[in-house]
Amino acid sequence: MAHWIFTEDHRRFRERVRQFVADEVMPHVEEWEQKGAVPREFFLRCGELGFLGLKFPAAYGGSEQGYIAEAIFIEELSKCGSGGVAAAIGAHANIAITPVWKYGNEQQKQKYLAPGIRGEMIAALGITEPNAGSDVAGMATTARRVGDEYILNGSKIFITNGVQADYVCVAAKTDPSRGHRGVSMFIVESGWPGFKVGKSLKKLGWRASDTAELIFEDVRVPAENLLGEENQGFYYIMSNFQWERIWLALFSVAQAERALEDALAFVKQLKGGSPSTALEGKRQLLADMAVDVEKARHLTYHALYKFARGDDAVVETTMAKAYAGEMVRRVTDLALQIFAETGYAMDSPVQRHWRDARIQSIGGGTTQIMYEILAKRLELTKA
Amino acid sequence: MKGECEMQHPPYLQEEHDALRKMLRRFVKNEIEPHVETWEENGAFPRGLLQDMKELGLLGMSCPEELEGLGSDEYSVVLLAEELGRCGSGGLAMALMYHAELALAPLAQLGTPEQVERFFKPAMAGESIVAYGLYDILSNTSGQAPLRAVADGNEWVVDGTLSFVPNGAAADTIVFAAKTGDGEEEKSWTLFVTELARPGIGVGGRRLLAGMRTMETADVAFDQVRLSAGNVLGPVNGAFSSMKRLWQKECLIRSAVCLGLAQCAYEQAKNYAKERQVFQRPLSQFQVPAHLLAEMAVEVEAVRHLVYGAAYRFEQGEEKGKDALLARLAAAQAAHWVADRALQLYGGYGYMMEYPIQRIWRDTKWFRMSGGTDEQLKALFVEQMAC
Repeated sequence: MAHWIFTEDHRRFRERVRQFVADEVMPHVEEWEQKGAVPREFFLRCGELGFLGLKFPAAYGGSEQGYIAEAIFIEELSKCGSGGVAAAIGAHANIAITPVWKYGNEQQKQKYLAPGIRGEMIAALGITEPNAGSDVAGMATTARRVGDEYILNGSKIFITNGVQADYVCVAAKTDPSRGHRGVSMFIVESGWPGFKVGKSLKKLGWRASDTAELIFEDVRVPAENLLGEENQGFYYIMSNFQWERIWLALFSVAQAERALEDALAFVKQLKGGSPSTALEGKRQLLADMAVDVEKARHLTYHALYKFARGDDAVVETTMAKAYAGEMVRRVTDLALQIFAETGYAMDSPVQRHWRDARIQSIGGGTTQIMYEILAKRLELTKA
Repeated sequence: MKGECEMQHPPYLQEEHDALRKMLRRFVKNEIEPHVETWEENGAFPRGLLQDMKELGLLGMSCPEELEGLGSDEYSVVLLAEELGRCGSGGLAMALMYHAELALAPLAQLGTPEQVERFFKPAMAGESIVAYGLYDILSNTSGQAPLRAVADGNEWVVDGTLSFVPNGAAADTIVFAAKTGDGEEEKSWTLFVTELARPGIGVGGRRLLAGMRTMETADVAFDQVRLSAGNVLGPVNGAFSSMKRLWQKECLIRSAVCLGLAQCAYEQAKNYAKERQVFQRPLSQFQVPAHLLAEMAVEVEAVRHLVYGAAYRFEQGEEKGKDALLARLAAAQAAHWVADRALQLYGGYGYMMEYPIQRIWRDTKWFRMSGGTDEQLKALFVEQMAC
């Protein structure tokens, strides 16, 4: 459904991205899914084409086209048929290099943001731990100040781009006694002694995205790699989440749209006649899917609009992420129902849409955590 | 870049709409909410409200100023429907919208000066009620044959029955469509308008429905009714495009009423949950009810933006039937789900007629089956997607 948020320029840009995805991404999806990673060359290629710097300032190689253009790139890439590809590039551009942009100083931006925008360096965001996911403040990784260094110890898990990353924005406790008020963020280079990729994790979906368990054993982080101020990290993380939620909601809507398009095309060429084809039933499911997608789309674009205007969009982004994350699960589930065994075979893209969609109600904040946030923001639990 | 989108204000709901909404809120709160229970008990169209609405310009709001309308846009109509829906009576909201907007709009648009005098002006004066006989026209849930009008000299002979006509039992006049040709659909329909007190027209008894009580529903039977050229509204055999446009308008209005009903149900449930003590604490402080309320809030917002978005495209003249259809389908399903979960949160009290939530539950169900069930609408949608 057309939406007022996109101008003619945006429509032309979308066509450009769509062509790029058709030419340079779709032919490689199977191969990258098998490999379990998106090649470095692809990050570089995206950087070369300016796709990693859409929302960033020209001073660092960005094109300053803005959040709407960024949204278009996210949507079109997310329709490539591999959630993993969209996740790898998406995590890099939308949650990993963004803290450097928002909280980094000039030196850090030149050293880490600019090469990230060029695709020369791959970045990851390291917050989640084996024993602390939803409970961000419960993290156990520590960064102990010693002279002009911080000594980093601990581990992170489920880190997108964690295997290939050149640097990771890591959250660690600089003051473990103060809970969330003692968290800081650091830029940690993966080449430093003590930084280990514990495991490349095998996942149900998003297989083209390399996901790691990371281990830090007395990693010496120069003090100049502290991002922003000490003990302010929790707030940086929270504010980074708003755009993350929009990214994931856009991602979910696009994936669902792709599943619906595939299902529509499939049903169109089915011949009715025998009751066993259950054609009428499949048609009804298509309408259910369309309704679900459109609700999520409108909610997400509303959040995008508010965020792009600079308004406080915590409620809207949280609602969009909550709804879209569940919607894509429902829609891809119905798509698989429509395709039945044809879709269930591993050589069908439909089973991949279904496996890839499943993480959306979990990663980037579970639906349940989204509801917790809303319960507070809507004053539901207030006395 | 933060601060982009400054020039691009959401193109619907401007300042004047905020002012309209405030006015409507006051009107609904003061003139409607205190009387809803009584009107529901009586099951009758609240004729007294018509004068209040007239004074506020809410009758024929979208009709041109030359005809005493406000010339309002489609968002204003959607806002009116939404704010009426928030009173918690689907019957009242739809009864008013079928009359004040859907029946009057084609009269204003297509009526001759004589028809305007005879049918439109009394309604705008708050003195007569016009039934919307175009209900169900494109979806035909009842499966009945459409009305037929056969030319006989310079008269038309109309035959057939319209079932479940909203306001049928309360109305003085009816706008309806009949088949006047046998060729392609697009060229075979004509709109008519007539007083109901006419030989051959039989208005059935008020049908008692499970919900929507304030909307006096009745069957209207035409038995060889003779109408003149003065009853033909718009071009002979040329009604189809108007019917399509009106159908989309009806879809948008229904979705907006559902939005209002859903919000009302959510607010009632939220307020109840914050008051009700369970295990020595307010119900809303337990995680499961809190999450459920959050989920309900999200549903309402998802529907809201879909409805406003569909209204925007309709206002722009992008009359793609499927936008309005999707909005209608989404809003009806969501509203009934929210009402159902709200009833659940009320526990035993949700089941008591004394509490308003059961009414919203009963009323929202109507939207999922009247003038086209969810399933029929889905089939229509899929047809439009050419599957």
